[in-house]
Amino acid sequence: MECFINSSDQELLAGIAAGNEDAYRRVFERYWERVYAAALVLSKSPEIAEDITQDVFAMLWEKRTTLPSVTNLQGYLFIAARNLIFSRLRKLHSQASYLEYQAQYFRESARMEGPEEIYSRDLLQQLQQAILKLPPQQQKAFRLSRLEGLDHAEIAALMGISRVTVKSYIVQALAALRKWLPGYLVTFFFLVCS
Amino acid sequence: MIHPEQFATLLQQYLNDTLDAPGLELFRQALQQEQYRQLFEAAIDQQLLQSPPAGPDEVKERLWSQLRPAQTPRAAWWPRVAAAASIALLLSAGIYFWKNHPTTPKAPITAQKNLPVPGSSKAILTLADGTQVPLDSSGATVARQGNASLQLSGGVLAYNGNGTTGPLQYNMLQVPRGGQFRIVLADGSRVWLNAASSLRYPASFTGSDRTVELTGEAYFEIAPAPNQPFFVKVQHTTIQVLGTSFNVNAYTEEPSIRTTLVEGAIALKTPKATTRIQPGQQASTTADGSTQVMAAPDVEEIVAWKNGYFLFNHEKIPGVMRQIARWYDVEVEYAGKVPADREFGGKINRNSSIEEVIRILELSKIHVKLSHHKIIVQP
Repeated sequence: MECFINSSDQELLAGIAAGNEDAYRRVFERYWERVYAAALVLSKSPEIAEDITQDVFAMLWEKRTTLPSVTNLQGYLFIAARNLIFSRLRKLHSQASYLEYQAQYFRESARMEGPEEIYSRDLLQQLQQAILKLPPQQQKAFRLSRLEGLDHAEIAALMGISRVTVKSYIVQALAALRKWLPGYLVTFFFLVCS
Repeated sequence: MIHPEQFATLLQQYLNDTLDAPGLELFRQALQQEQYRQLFEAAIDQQLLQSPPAGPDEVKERLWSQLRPAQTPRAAWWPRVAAAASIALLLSAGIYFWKNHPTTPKAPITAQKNLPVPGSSKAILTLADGTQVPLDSSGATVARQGNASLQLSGGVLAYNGNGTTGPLQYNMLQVPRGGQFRIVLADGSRVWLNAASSLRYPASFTGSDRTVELTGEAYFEIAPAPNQPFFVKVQHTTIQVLGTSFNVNAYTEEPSIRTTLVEGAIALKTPKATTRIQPGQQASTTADGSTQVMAAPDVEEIVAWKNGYFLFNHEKIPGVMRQIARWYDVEVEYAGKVPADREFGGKINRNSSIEEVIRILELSKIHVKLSHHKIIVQP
């Protein structure tokens, strides 16, 4: 197996162009965090950031036969990433569901930190049960924020994820809880079945 | 319009997560304007060049498992060719790619790819000369048709400039299953087209009347013009509009054409009869040309689709499933007898993922299985 750990970008480019998977993996390892982090700060959504990152690197492999004409791997990748982030964001900014998500995201960002005060024991019980249905990461972020009163930065440090991701988890948790707890917070939609 | 310095401030606040609601609105508007593109792109470049915080290993692993060349039959890529007359789609100097399945921000990540996704703004525009232009929610362009100029922004196609002379030039907007689109006609009338629907209309209304042809479902808000009556032709029925808002549901798989008047006045003409209906009334026209007027149907339910919801109030299961099928572009099959007597009530956001919809159906004891692009309703 070839080892590309100390290879230059130029060698890696040649490796990918030749269809070498190790070279591709090395480029991914070297650059994925930058693409992901930028996409995260710009999209405010870990799912979208992941999607964009995947698309950027998938493109690199798909287009490997054209790579010999590329002289600057980082520049090439970053331009592709920038164009993709830009066009994706512009498109997202015309989608109602995304706009709603962002509005919630910025509201969450501006929220005064501290635990929610829940007066009713019954409600707290219902809430606890609903929280258990959340995916583990969302559950953890939501508990730390709303029940224990930690701020976003503290939760981010504790969970080893970015603040954007923390806020995104909380926004998604809130949306799910609104659905599961009719009458609590806002009634998002109701269900009756005859 | 905002100053470049103001945009720079908003951009900084956007990156720092400190925008307030009015700021966010201004920022969004600016984002659609070409003049701020450079600033925004420079900010993206800057983010890319910063050393990032360590990304979570699970994200890295997940990404790599999707990317591994050995296991990725990712055939869904192809470079987009910019057709001369096509709606300008944010082409930058680099290469621009697109995936043929749109991503939905709310959808949870699942290991499975290729789940049916909720519909989005998309349509095909056929110009008078037969040129076909695919439209989606991005881009802004411009083409001319006679006296009218066409502009696209955020899932709305608008015709500006209604001439009074010249021959009628018909355009057609076709919305596929899993799509929806809005259009502002040259006279200022607004039309919301639902999934699997089409509208044929003149680019400018130079004739003595304004006549359009509809298949599927649409919601109309017609601009008043007393000297130029507005007609909607639907199959064998013509709806004469006297300045008004109404919904027409004329899907061929539905039992009748249902026209619901929200405000104003309309008359329905079939070969058999002419029927006038009042606001809040619904007329059902069947294939034999007979029309029945129903008092006070649930208008909110009928126009919910245009406001981004499915709203069901005592709707029978087949009716619910037909709406879901059109929006998520899935087929519906019944494993047992079609449950004819059970009714469903509820409100579902049209942005919901198919999994959420299935969960809601399950909560209402409607058991379904999703198999590829087919929903199988269990007895």
